[in-house]
Amino acid sequence: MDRLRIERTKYTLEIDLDPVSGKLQLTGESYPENARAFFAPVFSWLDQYLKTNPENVNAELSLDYLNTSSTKCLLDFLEVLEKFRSGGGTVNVTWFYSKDDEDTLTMGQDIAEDTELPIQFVER
Amino acid sequence: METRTESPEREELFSKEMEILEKAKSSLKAAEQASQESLSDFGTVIRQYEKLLKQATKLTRLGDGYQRKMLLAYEEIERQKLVLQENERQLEIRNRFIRETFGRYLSDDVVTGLLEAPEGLALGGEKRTVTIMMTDLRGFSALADGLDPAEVVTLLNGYLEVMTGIIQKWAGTIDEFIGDAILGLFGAPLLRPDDHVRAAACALEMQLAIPGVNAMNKEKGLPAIEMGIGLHTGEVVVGNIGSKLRAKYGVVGRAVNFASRVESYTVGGQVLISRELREALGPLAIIGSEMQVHPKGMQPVTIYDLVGLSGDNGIRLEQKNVSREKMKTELPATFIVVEGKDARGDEHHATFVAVSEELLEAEVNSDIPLKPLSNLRFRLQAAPSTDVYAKVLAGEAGHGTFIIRFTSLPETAKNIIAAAR
Repeated sequence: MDRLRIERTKYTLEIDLDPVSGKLQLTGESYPENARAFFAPVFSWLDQYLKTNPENVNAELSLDYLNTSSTKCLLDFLEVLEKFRSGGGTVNVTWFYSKDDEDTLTMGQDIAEDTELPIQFVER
Repeated sequence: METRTESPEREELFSKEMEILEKAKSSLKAAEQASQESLSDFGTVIRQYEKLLKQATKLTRLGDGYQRKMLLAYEEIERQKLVLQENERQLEIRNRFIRETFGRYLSDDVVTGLLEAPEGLALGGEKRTVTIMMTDLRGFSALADGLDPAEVVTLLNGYLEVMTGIIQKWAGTIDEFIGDAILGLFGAPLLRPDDHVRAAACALEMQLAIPGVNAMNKEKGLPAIEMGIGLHTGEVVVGNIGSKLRAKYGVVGRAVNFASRVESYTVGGQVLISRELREALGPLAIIGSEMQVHPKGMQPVTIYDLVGLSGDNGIRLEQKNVSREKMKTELPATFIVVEGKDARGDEHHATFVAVSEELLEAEVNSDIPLKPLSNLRFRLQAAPSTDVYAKVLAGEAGHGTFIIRFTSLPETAKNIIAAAR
């Protein structure tokens, strides 16, 4: 299975999904014109990847800004991982935030409240 | 760190949905008669709806959070914009100060250089080596006496306009105009490695521009002028000099006075330079002659007649072949040696025996020996109230006969000499 890499742009995230290491990185800011279209290859890749029943999935999220559509896509992304975890898979999520960016930390904590996924908060 | 709690406002936002959900739940309880299968389907729909509502609530909360973050970022940008505007205002004030202080006297590129690299500007006062240019119009005071005030101003402005352009072209600084004299600087406020070369090239070009100025004067019915330029490289103090009410960027030091001394030895059309500048120019300098002078209160020094520059700034003065012809009628006169501005020395007798075609130079017999570059004031016997000023030319003076270069030859005297040729 190929690694999926999407370069960061002014309006979209940098995506780096590595099937070998199991590291799924989402970095940057996201306010694309069509969030669903942007995330479509990500969901498609994730669907294929989880079918391979990977041993360890580590999601590393370093998100500075998401518009509402992108937030919806992120929640869906986490829901897919949550389902995989409830089926017996191992998933870890790391939520990175800047020291002076309390809002990003608060939003990560908000997400963590309603998910079974273990989320670790790490200062960048 | 603050912990988030569900706000009543947000609950209210989805109250309609919650009401529907509660209604569905109570309907489910009431539907005792319904089949088990239908009840199960109904329960699934409620759970899915519950989940959707939960996600919609979270999405709204997160969306609000990001919007708040965006707003804070926007506020920060606005704050930075204000800081930037203030910085720009301060910069504009500083730039305006520099332009107002130097704009009249400096070329645009020098002012731009100052604005871009203000560290080159030391307003507080600083010792540095500069090349000083002192120019003067030969015999201008006497010339001005024969003109009305408007003509004097027209003549001066026309001349200074042309010279200013040339000095700015060579990135020099006009420190001040002193009547018909110009005090120019190369090396202040901006110091450049080729200051001395540009100063020399500038002086030569200024001399070359004089025929053009004279052609302009002739068109306006004004007399021709001649300029002498003295250049010296030396250490001076540069800075803003004056009082709080009136200060001006300028230079002070012995080197300034010495440049003025060097200039005082010039005749019209000449650029004289000091030994220091001669050495700085090295092989670039084309020297016509050198002469020993003994300025008052100083040791004798050698100064050089710069006639050209070689190299990239190659420029050369036109050589004038001045031939003097014997006069048909020799003209008796008296003269005194002028020391500085003092014209009260002993009176001697002299006779004009030969004169050049354009009345630039003359050969005079005298009863005393005269040092080269001595300044003389003559009075022709035929016009005893008219002062004629001249300088003894270097290397050509001797006992008995000497060559003079007129520095001021009023019309009355000129007519008498021309008639005697």
